Amino acid sequence: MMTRYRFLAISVALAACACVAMLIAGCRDDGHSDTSAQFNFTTTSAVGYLRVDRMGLPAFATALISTANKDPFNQADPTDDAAGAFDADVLANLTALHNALDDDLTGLGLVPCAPASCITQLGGYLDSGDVLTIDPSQPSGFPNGRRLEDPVIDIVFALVLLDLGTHDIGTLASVSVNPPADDAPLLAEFPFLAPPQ
Amino acid sequence: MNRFKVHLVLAGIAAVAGAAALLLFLTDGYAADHRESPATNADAAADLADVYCWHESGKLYAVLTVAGLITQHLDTAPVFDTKIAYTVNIDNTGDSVPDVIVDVRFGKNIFGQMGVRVVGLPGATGTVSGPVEQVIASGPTRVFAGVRDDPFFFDLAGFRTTLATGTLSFDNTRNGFAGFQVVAIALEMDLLAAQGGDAGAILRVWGETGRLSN
Repeated sequence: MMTRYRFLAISVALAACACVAMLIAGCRDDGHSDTSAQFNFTTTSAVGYLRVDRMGLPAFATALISTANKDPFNQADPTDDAAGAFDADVLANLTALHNALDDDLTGLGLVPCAPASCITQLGGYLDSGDVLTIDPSQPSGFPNGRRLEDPVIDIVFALVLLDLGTHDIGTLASVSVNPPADDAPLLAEFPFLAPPQ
Repeated sequence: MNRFKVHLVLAGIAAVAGAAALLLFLTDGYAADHRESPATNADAAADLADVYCWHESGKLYAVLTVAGLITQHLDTAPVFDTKIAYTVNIDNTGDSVPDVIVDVRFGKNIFGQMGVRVVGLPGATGTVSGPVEQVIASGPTRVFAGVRDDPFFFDLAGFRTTLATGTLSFDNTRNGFAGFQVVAIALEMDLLAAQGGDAGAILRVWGETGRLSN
C-alpha cells in the first residue's frame, strides 16, 4: 500500500513539475502569436457589453454637451450626432460660452464667431459626428487626426470661439493660452507615451 | 438711475447669468473627456480620457487613455479591468459607421499577471496578445498597454476659474494633468489595411468602452 501511494505521489509531483515547466516556457514566449493561451480573456462578443463611454474629438462633448445629456450622448453613436440629435444642446452651450467670454475675446482684439455661425464653422466636424477625421494625403496634426503633442484645447477653443474667417485656427495655440506641451517628454519610439512619473 | 447705469446693471446680470449657465452646463466636464459624465465617473476603468489617432509613414497609430485624473505619482494602483471591452472604431467609407473594429481586452494568467489581447488590428495576422507593460510586435503591427504619464496637457484650474467667473483666466505654465497617470492602450497598425485597401480613403476614428453586463 505504502509503495503504491508513494508512486502515486511521485507521479502527481512529476505531473505538477511538467505543468509548471510548460507554464514558464509559455511565459518566455512573449511576443509570439501563441501567447494568448497563457492569459484568460473573456470570449463574450462585443454585443454582450454595455456601453460606458465613447469619444472622438478632444473636449468636444465635454464642452458642448450638457451634463444631463452626457450619458445619453455616450450611449448614442456618431451617426446620431451627424443626424443632429444633439445640435440644439450644442448651440445652447455655444451660446452660453459666447455670452460669458465674448467681451474678453473682444478685449483681446479677437473677433468671436456668432453662435449660429460657429455651428456652421463646426459643420465639417458636426456632420461626421464626434470622430477624429484623418486624411492620409495631408500632414498629421489636429484637426487632421490628433497626435500626442498637439495643443488641442487651444485649437478647439479657436474653433468654437473665434471667427475663423478673420482668424487662423492656430491663433490661440500660437500664443499658447494653455501649456504648449506636456511636462513629461514623449518617447521617440512606439509606444511614444512617457513612463509614469 | 441713468441709462448708462441701467445698461451696466443689465450687462452685469447677463454676465452673471452667462457664468451661471456655464457652470450649470460645464462643471461636471473635466477636460478632454476625463470624468465627463455620471456613468463614466462611476467606472474609472471604462472612462475614456482621450483618443489619439494619426498617420505617419504608412502606419496608423491609435492611443486610448482611460482612468485619468485618478492615479497620481503611482500612489494608487492602476486600473486594468478584465470585464471591459475597449474598442477603436474605424470608418473608411465616409458614413461614420465602423468598417474596422479593433477589440482590446485585458485578462490574467494563472499567476495573476495581466495580459492584453487585440482582435481585428489592421495589418496583423490574427490575434495579438501578450503581457501588459511590454511592446508586443506582430508583423507590421505593435501593441502596448500599460500605465503611462497622461500625455494630455491643459490648464484645468484656469478653465474652472474661467467658467466660474466668465473671465478668461488661463495660465500657460499650469498643466492640471501633470503627475497624473493613465492606463494607455497604444496600437500601431498598417494604414492601408485600416483604409480597407483604398489608399485614398479618409478615416473617421473614435474610441468606445463597454462593460460586461453580468
